[in-house]
Amino acid sequence: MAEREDKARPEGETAGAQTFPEEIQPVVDLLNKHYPDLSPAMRADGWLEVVVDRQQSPEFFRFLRDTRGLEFDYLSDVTAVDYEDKGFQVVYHLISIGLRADRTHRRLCVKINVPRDDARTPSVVDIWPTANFHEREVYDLMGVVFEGHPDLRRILLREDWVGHPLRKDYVDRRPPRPRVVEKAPGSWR
Amino acid sequence: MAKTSDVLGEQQLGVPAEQELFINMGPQHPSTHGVLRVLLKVDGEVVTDAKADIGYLHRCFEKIAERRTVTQVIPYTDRTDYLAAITSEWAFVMAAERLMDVEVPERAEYIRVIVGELQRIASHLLWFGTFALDLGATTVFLYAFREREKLLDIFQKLTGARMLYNYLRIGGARNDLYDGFADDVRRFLDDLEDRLHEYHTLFTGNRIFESRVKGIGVLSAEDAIKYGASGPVIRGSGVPYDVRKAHPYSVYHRFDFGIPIGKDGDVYSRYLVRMQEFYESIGIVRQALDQIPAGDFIGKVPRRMRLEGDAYARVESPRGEVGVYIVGRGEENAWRVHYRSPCFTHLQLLGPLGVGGLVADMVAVIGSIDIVMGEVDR
Repeated sequence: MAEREDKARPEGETAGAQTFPEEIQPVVDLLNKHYPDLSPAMRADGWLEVVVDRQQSPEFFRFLRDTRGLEFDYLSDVTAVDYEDKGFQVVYHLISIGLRADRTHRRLCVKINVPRDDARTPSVVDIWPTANFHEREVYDLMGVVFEGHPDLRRILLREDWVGHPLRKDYVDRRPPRPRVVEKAPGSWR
Repeated sequence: MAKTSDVLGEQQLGVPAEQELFINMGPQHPSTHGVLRVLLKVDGEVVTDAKADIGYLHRCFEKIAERRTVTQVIPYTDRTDYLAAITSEWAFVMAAERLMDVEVPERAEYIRVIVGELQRIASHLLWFGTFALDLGATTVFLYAFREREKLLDIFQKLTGARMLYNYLRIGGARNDLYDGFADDVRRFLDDLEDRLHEYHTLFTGNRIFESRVKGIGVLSAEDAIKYGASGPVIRGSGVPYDVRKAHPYSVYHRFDFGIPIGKDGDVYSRYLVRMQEFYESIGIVRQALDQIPAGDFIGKVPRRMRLEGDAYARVESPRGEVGVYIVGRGEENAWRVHYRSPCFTHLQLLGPLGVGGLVADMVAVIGSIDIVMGEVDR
């Protein structure tokens, strides 16, 4: 692995270790100042990670985008993971690109836990328009509803599809197709 | 197939006003490079609204990836971005390596960089040919494919395949470079440099071409960031954002290369950025061939690969930022694999870029964001 990636890793790699690389420390300080009970943690792949409640999510995302020193203006990715009985987790990967001179390209991963029986969370389309397709995809495949999304329809599957395939309890309703392998005449097998 | 209920696009674009008309561009349209349906609302010949309708090639790659062991997923990643298979493999393999803390030997990293940059050249050559073809320049297409053919021969000799290589492995690559690989590649690069000059005299200064691309599909830097553009699209708008520089992976920090950026954010800027990237890639491959150390082409990997935790790895593919997010829960299969596709994100730009232009400009816009539908639909 590249040397720079290695440097970005915390010593000992235990979750919640309080040593952060020096370019990430200001981000942690800012987060701790405004949201004291967030406890950001360093992930092994070099991303800073926080878990927030879905109730505070729109203000928190606005804070991330608009605060001087954070300025996460680029939403790389939105996805969701099904943790079965623990519910869903919606995962956002944010980067600061910035048109200003200081191009440090900070990175932050935000996770929101969503209960299984009430799978909804506020949409971030009005903060980052790029979330439009990403949230539609998550809704389509995982069935998490994004409240306030301007156009929440299925995007990859057809409209009359039943269920959300990436859920772990998804049942494939298509008739089973047995796999038939016929020996060719005169085959050496 | 898909969405039969919205043939007229009324659900997506609303009922048209009296003078307006719906046009379905695609799913089978020569300029869409696959099965992309673009819903256009036009007033005369001016586009007043545009939306992309996708999903025709959907295979649910992410579900397939959950049911295979990590090593078995690698060939599937080829099929997402089939014109740049190496970079899709690379993103996946890198995410898995970060999850399991696998050490990659230095030689393997160099092999990856060389193959990855050659892949960028191959992909840009195909884009150059088809983009010109979309705009009516047939000869360019033949020229570009002539060069791409030579490159594919090198790939075939190295990996055994011409497009879907299945070459990278967790911890390195499948096989070492063959004897004489460096000579083959150097000869190809020298040749390509001459040819690039030829391309520029043939196409870049062409007045018909320039009048079709200059000032068309303008994307401002702010919009590019807001809409999550990446790769040549965001750089064409003047934002010097490149994953290879922003968060250097592999051994990219050892090479000296620039990030070409455009001035105006129009189709022409994106064209120039890609043409400039040929030279940067040639430079990187030459440096890598000079520096490549001896050693193993694959590192020590555990026999049973157990994934634990989560990791997100990003790679600068020819089209933009490819990201793979893997979650493991102590098994050999990934619990969840997510593939972030640059083209999928770029398709949201069709509206902002195409509105106000002519229908013919839409073809130039689609060509300039260089979509691969296999990657959009996954």
